[in-house]
Amino acid sequence: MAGITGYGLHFAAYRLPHEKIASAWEGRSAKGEKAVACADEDALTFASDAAADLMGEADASAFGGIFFASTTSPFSEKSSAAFLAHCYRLPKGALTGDFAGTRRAASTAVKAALDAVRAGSADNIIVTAGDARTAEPGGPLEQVTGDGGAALCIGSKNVVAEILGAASVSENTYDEYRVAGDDFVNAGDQRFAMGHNFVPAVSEAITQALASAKVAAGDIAWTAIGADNAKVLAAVAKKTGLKPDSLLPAYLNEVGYLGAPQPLVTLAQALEKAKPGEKILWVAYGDGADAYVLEVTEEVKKIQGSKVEAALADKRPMKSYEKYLKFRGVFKLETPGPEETPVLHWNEREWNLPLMADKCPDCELVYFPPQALCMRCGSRAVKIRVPISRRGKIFTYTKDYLVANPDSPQMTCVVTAENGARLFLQGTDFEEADVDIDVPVEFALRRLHDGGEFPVYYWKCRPAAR
Amino acid sequence: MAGSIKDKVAIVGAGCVKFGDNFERSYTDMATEAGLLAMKDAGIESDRIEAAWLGTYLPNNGLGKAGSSISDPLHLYGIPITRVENYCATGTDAFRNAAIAVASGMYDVVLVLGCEKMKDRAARGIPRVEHPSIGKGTSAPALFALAANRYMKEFGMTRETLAKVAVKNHYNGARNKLAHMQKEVTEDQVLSAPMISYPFGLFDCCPTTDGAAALILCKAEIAKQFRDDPVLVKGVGLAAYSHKPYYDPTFDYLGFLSTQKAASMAYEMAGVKDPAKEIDLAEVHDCFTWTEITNYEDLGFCKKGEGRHLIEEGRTALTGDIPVNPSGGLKSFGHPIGASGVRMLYEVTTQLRGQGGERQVKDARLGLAHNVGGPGAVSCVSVLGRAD
Repeated sequence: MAGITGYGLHFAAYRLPHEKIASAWEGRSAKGEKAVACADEDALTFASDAAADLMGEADASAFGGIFFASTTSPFSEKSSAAFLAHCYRLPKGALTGDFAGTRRAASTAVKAALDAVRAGSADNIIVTAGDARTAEPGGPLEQVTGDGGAALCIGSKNVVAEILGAASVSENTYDEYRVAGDDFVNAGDQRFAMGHNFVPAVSEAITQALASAKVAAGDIAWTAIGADNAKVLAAVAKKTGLKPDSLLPAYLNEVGYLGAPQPLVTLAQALEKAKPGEKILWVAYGDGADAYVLEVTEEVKKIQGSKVEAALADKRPMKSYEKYLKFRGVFKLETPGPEETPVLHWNEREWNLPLMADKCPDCELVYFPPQALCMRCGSRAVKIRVPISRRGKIFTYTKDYLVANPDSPQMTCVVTAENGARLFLQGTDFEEADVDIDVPVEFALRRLHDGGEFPVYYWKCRPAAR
Repeated sequence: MAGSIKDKVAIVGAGCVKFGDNFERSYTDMATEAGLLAMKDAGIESDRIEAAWLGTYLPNNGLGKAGSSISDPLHLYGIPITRVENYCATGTDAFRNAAIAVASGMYDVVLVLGCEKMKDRAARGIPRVEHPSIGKGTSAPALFALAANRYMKEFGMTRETLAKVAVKNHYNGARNKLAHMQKEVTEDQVLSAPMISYPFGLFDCCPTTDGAAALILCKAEIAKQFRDDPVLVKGVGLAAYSHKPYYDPTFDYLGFLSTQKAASMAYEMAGVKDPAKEIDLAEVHDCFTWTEITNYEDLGFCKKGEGRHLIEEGRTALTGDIPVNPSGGLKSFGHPIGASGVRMLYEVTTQLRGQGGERQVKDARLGLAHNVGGPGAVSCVSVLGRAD
């Protein structure tokens, strides 16, 4: 039996009030705010954060694969999934796959993961999605989109939601699209797109999925549809017979519409609310629609927490619209940074991104980066490679206004990880006043610079909010 | 340490250019002037120089990359010239190597020249070439600020105490015609200046500067051929520790082992038992205000954690019992990395000769010069004394 075994999510901590966008363009403001990526965040870091939230303290070797889904992957050619598998120390034999090109990428990845688990290719697979879709400044989507990531784990053991039935509908549409090489997502006429693309495709997928699961629409307790317009959900419910009070909100006024991760966020809410035995309808839209009918098991109690609430609460204000444009690269900024080379990257593969320290068998000092002779006692004994805990405390810090960083001042921290290794890390998602000695932190993968003509990612520390 | 060079080497020539934003001067201009001033001070021409050491940390446009960078400007052809680079200890280490070479008996007369052209490059101070991920995004102030914040937390010290170092060193620099910044500052000005890297504001940081300084060294027994007031090398020490102290789980950030070790080497050679009493003046590495305070402790002028009392009680002022940075220090004299160490030895030399003018330290007989780079990766300490 295959189904969902866990979930995780992470929104960009920066929140930009819609009224700041409206006042920049002398337009009308939607209610609320949206989550916007910092300069060091992108689709890959959001997917990383969501996967980290999903995995928690679990041993990485417990996962048989990782799929990455996005419409804004930092790489057009190169696997982001393989990158994440490396950073999170998944086994070498882990399945990796990248799904792209549509807001339905994550649900397609879930389908592939289900098929792989059912076929015995892997015991479980993480599907993690991230997006940082930039809408045209002043355009209709600017107050609609938001940035973040979400993840699901698909497995055969400890299933919290079984798949009772599923259906997919493919439609060739041009409602939201981005031409290769363009920076901004385009949107056509919203009324046309919703009425003639979204509602028919989603309704058809729902009807087929319910039929395949042999479940009546009225028996659905929770409906999780990834939509960037709340109004159309009522139309879908009416057309398919779903109970209107089963419809879950999409947090469009809190974080915005995330793109590929959006349906996973909506499903995460359902998983947090559902009682054992209740049925969930989960739908993703984009060039058609995927619909899944799920039944929640007793196991759900073990994973239910308040992850959605925590992700919504973990935020800091974006003080200006201009700063948002700067972070999104609308203004070109300095510093490609020091050069990383493919050879260096490969040479340090065993310890740099996976964060592996050396432990001296003689004096037991745990230190990073690894070196042949023990940093303290000089022992030449063969060192023990140990994973560095991705949590710790700030040993010391500075707020550096001199170094080039779009999110100035740069928090530069020395962190003592839980297992004793000392690391030199930049801080991120900190308010200036919140960085101090002994403050607990967690590590997050962030984009450091584009030296060497490719994006260079490394770990940063952020407040241990959860 | 097996050997000693105590009293075997003398400084008989010293020259230094005006430090500052020397936009109108080239690397070669400055190196030429410093070298010729030192030769004139020793009363010699370049044909007396048998070997030379050049300290430059940041070569630019090819200048400063090799010893030959000073063979054309000073007409030093056909002799060994060695370039030294060792972080902020570059200049003092060039001197140390030259002194050891003279003490070995290999040469009678040699030149040490430190030169740096720092203002001829892109913005944002010293370029740092580091590991692309694990060292990315560091500025020099940030590396020292990391230590300062830990130290200040541990010992309950505030920015007000740091500011007193800037006030003192600017006071001294305002009385030095060769200093980059010849202007006094108040504690309020220091505290209200723009933040650079917390806790360091603009006036807690030394400027980036152009400059050059040179020394002529000779065997002690022939020193009187050149000058009546030779200054003797009493002790030298250099120590290297971790290149990446911020990764070292055993590092407490309360001071620098490299300075402690280099000082103990130099003191042992010089026969200094109680530096607080015996050292009459010190030129120490005040790249940032906090660094000077931790130097007091690492150099043994007081116990760990008590450095604040030396500055707060005025003991390191010109009129104190152990004047520190009478030249104005890196803080106001400027810090052209490869030139700094040689310039500090120039100040100690002139003070020991009694040529300090308005800044002359009373009865100066034994002086010290110190650099720390890295931070804490390398330190170099030299003790100089009057020959009489």
